[in-house]
Amino acid sequence: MMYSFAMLLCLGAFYAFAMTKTAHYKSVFGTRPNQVQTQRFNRSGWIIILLSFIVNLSQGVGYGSLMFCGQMALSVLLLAVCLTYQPNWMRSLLYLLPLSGLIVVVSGLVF
Amino acid sequence: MKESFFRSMTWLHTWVGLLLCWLLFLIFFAGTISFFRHEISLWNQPAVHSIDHNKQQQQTLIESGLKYLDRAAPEANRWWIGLPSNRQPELQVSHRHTQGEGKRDKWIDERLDPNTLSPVEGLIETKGGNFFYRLHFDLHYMDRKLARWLVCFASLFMLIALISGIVIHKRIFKDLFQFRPQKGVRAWLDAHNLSSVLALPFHLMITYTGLITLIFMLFPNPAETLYEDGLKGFRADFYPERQRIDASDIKVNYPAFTAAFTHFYQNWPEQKIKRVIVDHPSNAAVNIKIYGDNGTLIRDEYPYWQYSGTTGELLKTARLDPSNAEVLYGGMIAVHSGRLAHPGLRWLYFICGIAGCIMIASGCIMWAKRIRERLKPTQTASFGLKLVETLNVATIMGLPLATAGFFYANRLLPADMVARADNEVLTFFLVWLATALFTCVFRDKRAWHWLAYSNAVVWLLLPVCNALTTDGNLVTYILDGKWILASFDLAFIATALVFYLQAKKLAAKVTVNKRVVNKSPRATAEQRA
Repeated sequence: MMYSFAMLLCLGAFYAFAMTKTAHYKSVFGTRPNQVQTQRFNRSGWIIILLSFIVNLSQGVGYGSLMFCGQMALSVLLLAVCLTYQPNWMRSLLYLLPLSGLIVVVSGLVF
Repeated sequence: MKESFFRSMTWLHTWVGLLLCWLLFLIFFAGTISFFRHEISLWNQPAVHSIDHNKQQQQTLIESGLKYLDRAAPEANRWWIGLPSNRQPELQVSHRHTQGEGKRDKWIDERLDPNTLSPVEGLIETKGGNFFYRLHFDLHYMDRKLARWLVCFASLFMLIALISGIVIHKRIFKDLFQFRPQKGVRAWLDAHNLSSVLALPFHLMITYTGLITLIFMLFPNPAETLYEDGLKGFRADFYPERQRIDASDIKVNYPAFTAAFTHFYQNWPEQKIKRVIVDHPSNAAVNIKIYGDNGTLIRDEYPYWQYSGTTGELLKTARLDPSNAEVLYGGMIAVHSGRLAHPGLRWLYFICGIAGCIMIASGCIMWAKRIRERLKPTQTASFGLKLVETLNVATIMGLPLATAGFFYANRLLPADMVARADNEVLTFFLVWLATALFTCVFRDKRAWHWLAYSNAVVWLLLPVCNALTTDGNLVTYILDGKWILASFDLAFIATALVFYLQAKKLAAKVTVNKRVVNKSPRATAEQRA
């Protein structure tokens, strides 16, 4: 459960990193990002990826770091495929990612 | 200086990458599949499919395993009990028998259902996932030592190619998510960059730790200086469990299992056991060897206890409290082999491995494409280019086809065939050989197109073949919660889908090319007019 949460965080972080690139931002939102937005995406990307790393490590230092490497690979793969073939899904992802993160956390607390 | 450095790095990356890329592809491909080594062994052995998840205590399992072996093979020189795990449902009981002078000992493998403790009937002879595991570093039909040296060289080349690749493709981190499939050769470069950067930590780790697994063959000098009898002495010190124990002439009725295991359970009550080996169970040289389970710890070799079989006292232990050097070495090998991984991490490993295959494949395809592009219309392709193109199709499209052939052979060869396991392997290589011969004649787009279609058809029919030849199929697997077997069918269908998409894409290109060829004389005529 914690690993799925870490995976979602990782996906979110790389989402933010992708949005710091002008071309990708434009393909998703249709406009050019201004500098402030780019900076915000960049900063939040770093914070979220750090969080993801911490969540992974909390489950086991060795095993967690292996999971983290794998999650990064999967996140980049999913985002690259999505950006290439279905850039408009990325907008829904902006809402879906935090929502699914919340669901995972709540269901983890309840069950 | 910078210019020349950059150029020399590009040169290095191109040629080091190209020279052994087909061998590297084979190693990566086989290695990636071997992450599912035990799962493949399970799939390849339909008789154990019906076994339910183990509900027995390990103590009961070991006791019944020993009793079974005592009844079935009292004269064996070694008993081997492998306990069930999430990846292997059955209790493995194997025994080894001495053959005549100069002949190798013979292993007989049997399996018990852990819940009923009765032997599993209808086992077939198969190598299962061990074939891919061995292929990964021993290759096949080849002297083991030579093969390992070749694999070492290939990994060294891979490491050099990776590092020079990071230098020359310096934009990979900037263009992290970039993939533009419409842009011709540029798309191949994108695929190459994307597949390498997304699993870069994995690629570096797997290549480096791959070299470490064979480090004592590559670099025996420290061991040779430290130990009087060189590597042999080092091995005796590092792997006490692998020391040969000579048989004795004095007979023993039944080894002192009770005393040994009572001592073990009292002192290490929490320890999960991976396997139990008994050497010379029938004579006074009897030794009981217990291997602990590492679980998800990043350790490779198992903790080890050795008991005397005559008195039941503890003789030796190993790696109960490993030194830092042992932890580092074992850790690197554990990370490489991924034995510790649960299904989630195992699939992540698999995805990274596939990314590695794509990285190598796109690299060698790109080389051929670039040279082709530079050819003038009047020039004919050189022998080198033709060779590279042939090897590309034969390896990249041939290996998946051969793998499917291996799975078909497992299901379709008669169960009582002589040397059945070897014939499965033979099928693998025959299919590959056939593909290679085919590509000697056709190596252009049509060959890719045709092979992609055959791959798609062959992989799609594999679940059908499985359903027809065994008792289960995708639906029953899902209903019974047999997720490993269900994922096999799903993975086969997914593979077929990928090849179908590739074939469709190639078909579009083949027709476009034809149109271009048809149009070009008219176009030049128009220009003249």
